[in-house]
Amino acid sequence: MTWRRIAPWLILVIAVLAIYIDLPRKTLHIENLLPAPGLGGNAKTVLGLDLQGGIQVTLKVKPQPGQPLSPDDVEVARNIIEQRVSGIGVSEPQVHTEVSSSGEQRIVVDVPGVSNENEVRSLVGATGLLQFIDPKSETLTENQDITGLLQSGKVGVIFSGGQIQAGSVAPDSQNGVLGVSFKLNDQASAKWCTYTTNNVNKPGPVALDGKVITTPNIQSAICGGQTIITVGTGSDAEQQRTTLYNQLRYGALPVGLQEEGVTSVAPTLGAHFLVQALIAGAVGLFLVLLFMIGNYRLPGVLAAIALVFYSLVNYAIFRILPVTLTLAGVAAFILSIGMAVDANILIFERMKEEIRAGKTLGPAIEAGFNRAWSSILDSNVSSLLVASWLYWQGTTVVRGFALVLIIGVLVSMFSAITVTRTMLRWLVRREWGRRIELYHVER
Amino acid sequence: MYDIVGKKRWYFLFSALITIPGLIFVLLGGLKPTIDFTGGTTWDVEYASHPSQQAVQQALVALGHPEAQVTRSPLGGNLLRIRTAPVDLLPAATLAPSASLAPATASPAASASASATPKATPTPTPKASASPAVVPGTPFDDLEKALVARFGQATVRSVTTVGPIIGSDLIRSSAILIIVGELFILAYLWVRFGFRFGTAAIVALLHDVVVVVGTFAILGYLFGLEFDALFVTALLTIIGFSVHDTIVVFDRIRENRIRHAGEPFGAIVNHSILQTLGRSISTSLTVVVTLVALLLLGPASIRTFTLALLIGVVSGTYSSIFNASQILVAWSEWDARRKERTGLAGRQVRPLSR
Repeated sequence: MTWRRIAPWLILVIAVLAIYIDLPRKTLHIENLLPAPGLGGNAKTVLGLDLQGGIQVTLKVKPQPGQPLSPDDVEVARNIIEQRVSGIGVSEPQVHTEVSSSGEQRIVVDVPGVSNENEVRSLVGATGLLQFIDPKSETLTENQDITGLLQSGKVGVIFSGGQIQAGSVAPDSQNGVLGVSFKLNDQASAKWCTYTTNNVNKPGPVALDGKVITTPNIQSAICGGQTIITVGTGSDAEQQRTTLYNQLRYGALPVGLQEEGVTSVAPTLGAHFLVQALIAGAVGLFLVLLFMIGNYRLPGVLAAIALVFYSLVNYAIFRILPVTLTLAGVAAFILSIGMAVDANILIFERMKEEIRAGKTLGPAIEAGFNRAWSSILDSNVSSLLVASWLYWQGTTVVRGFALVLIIGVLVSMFSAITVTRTMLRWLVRREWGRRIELYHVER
Repeated sequence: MYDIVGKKRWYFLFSALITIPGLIFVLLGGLKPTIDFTGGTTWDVEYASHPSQQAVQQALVALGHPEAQVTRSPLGGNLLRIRTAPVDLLPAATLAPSASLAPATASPAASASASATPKATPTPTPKASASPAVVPGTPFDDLEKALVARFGQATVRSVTTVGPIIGSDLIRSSAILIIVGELFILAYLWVRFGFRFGTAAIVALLHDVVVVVGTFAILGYLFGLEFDALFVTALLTIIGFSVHDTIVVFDRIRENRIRHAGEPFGAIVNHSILQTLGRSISTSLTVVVTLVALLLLGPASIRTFTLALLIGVVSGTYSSIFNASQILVAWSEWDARRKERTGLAGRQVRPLSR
């Protein structure tokens, strides 16, 4: 009995909370109007790459020769990649690791809102093996691939990026001439000092992953480890400085990477898909509501209200967790609406049967809910089983789909049963709510 | 009362008629996987001069891609979809040395500006690269540039490259997902309904999967329809939906067997189907309506996914009524006949054991 008293208020509170979370704060400029509770204070809708456009790069992680792949190394690599790509998309990039079904370690990089895939891929794909080159008798030019020269020993390596002191790389300028400064550790510093002393006014090329990125002139002997590479003046130089800064700073990855897949969706295309999915969803929902009201009359209206409640709560959960909404996720949401309706249909059909069998309205309603319960439970549990399995084992796309389905099934059990039942119980206590023609029972 | 159970042979025949052609087309190689499974590169692009598919195809052959396929993009407009072997993978990256590296935290305010530091001045770069492209020209860039040179300015809407390893991984993991997913359902139904019900339900599920896969094989063979990674998701959803339908009918059979104990099993099943028919049709209708809306108005990139679901949902409703329940009846009749033959005729034969 107490539950019957609490249920209406609980439903009301959940509905209000859901609406509050669903409100698009930024668009309505109400960020400060409402007291922000901990729950939903930072609610936001997160769209997948296929809906907002962007680039996804999948990289295979390879251990260094002779060393096992440690989880720490993979995590460090993930961190470095995240820092490299942060700030080039419209919203935060997501870099996560996953293990494939064949046991392969992967790093998956999602950068939303950009369409220049080469920029992302070059940032991500470079392992960042930075080498300061002794060109010997070779003349090196920018962008030259010197892998072969290095292997044959025609050019040498003075020191590599690992010798740069962590945290010492900084953008710099000297009388308006831009540059990047860094400090070497003692061992490399000694070598660098010897080399620069002997090679003043000769080029001291720097290579990243076997490609020459810059060929600065050595102006004087550099001893003590503190070094600056200047790039010139003007806006061009600023861009170059940023690039060089990033290359030096996020130098070496502790693991090797190999690109395995790239997906890029133009942001305009993503937005187009989103609009289409929303329109299709709205039309679908509207037709379902129409069908329910036409077929079940008054209970149909209640089912429609429950369905709106269901959509609001679902969307609020998506925003709190947050669930990344992809096209597959939107499809799962629309599908879960179908499942939510199914529970109501089961109950109403059962109610009609009980009325036809001679029961009065009140007992028929209760019997409808009670008898339909075992079907609803069994079918939903089997859906949850499959969805959980998918979430546990699936790839990223499948997981997104499964998560939306799981949330949908759980919310629908509450909305289709508790919410509808509470409203029906309230109705049959009213005189007008007991008129049998409102229940559309064909005898 | 309408006799549904009596005509079960016809339903089995009908199911055979819709599944066997599909299976034949599967054997004929009608299933056309996208690069999600095979590996490769696909891009949707529009060129300023609106070249014909054949022209682009010939250009690609000349550029060293005899395997290239050019079709109209399902995204519509004047977009072409080009599909080749994987072209734009970066070269295998060199392995990093054993560098001990903490995830670098920036300290831009660091005092590195000591003016006494000796300087190195770079030689002026001939042209400024617009992006921090460490790798200047990927094979994909080169290919796309060659095409642009021939057909005019290009608008690339989406690019996907899948390496062969990811592709073969997907095939393996998809198969595991579907098979284990079905086993989960089988186990649950065995626990809740008993051996026969569970087995009958799984046969109905397999029927639905075969119908959908078969339809895709036929459409693939005739119209080149391809299935992508989402197709696997669709199959799993269909399994979930179909088991929904089957459970509703089974649940009613279970209830009626207690209420109408003593009636022949076939009659009980017939009752139960008729009683749940309204619900089955209503539910299927609502789902079909939503899916049709999604199919007609929704994004092109999930059109095959929606189509698979639509076929599966209709098949699922059909199979729960006309296969799963009928198998139960056929099984119990077969059981009864067998027991008669082995001389147990005099005994009370319970149609089904839990």
